Amino acid sequence: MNGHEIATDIFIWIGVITAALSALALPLSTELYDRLHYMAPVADISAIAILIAILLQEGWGQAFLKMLLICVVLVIMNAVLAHATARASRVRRRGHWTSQPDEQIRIAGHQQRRGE
Amino acid sequence: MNTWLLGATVLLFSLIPCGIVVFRGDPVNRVVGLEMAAMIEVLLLILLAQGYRQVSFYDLGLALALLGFGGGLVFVRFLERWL
Repeated sequence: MNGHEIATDIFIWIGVITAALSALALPLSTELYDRLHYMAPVADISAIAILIAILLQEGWGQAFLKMLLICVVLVIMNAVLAHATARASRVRRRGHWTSQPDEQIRIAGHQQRRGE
Repeated sequence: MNTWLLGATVLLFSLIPCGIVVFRGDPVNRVVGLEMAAMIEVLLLILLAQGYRQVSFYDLGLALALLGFGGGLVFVRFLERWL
């Protein structure tokens, strides 16, 4: 096993372990917004680590280009879906998306009125 | 079994926590579990494609990523307005 293969294996395991830990954290967290944040490492760190592993093994070939396209889709998908899901949750709870003047906003663990 | 296929096996077991979230909680939390499962499945298909050295199998991952994106958006839109 040469250095090239070792580097490939390291990047594969970075991607796999990051995705596995993020998936494991999903049922352990209770807040919806925490759960939304756990999707980001899978879309960003795991996908890009696997992209680098493919680049190391295959070079600038067809496999790399397809994985690059998948990475772009995953990064955009994560950002848009996280926002859309948080928005849907807020609309379901409050009936509107925009904040109201008298709304209680939670900042760093304490309640504060908007504008104070 | 090479490293790609070993990684795919680990990712396969990572779907279990997503399944736990999908089967419990309110609808919005279930959708989050579904979105996470879709992303992990995309990576799983990529690892399988590379493990079997079949570049054409990458298209499955790409199709799932695009369909998971559209499906997730439709789900959250329905949850926001109608469900």
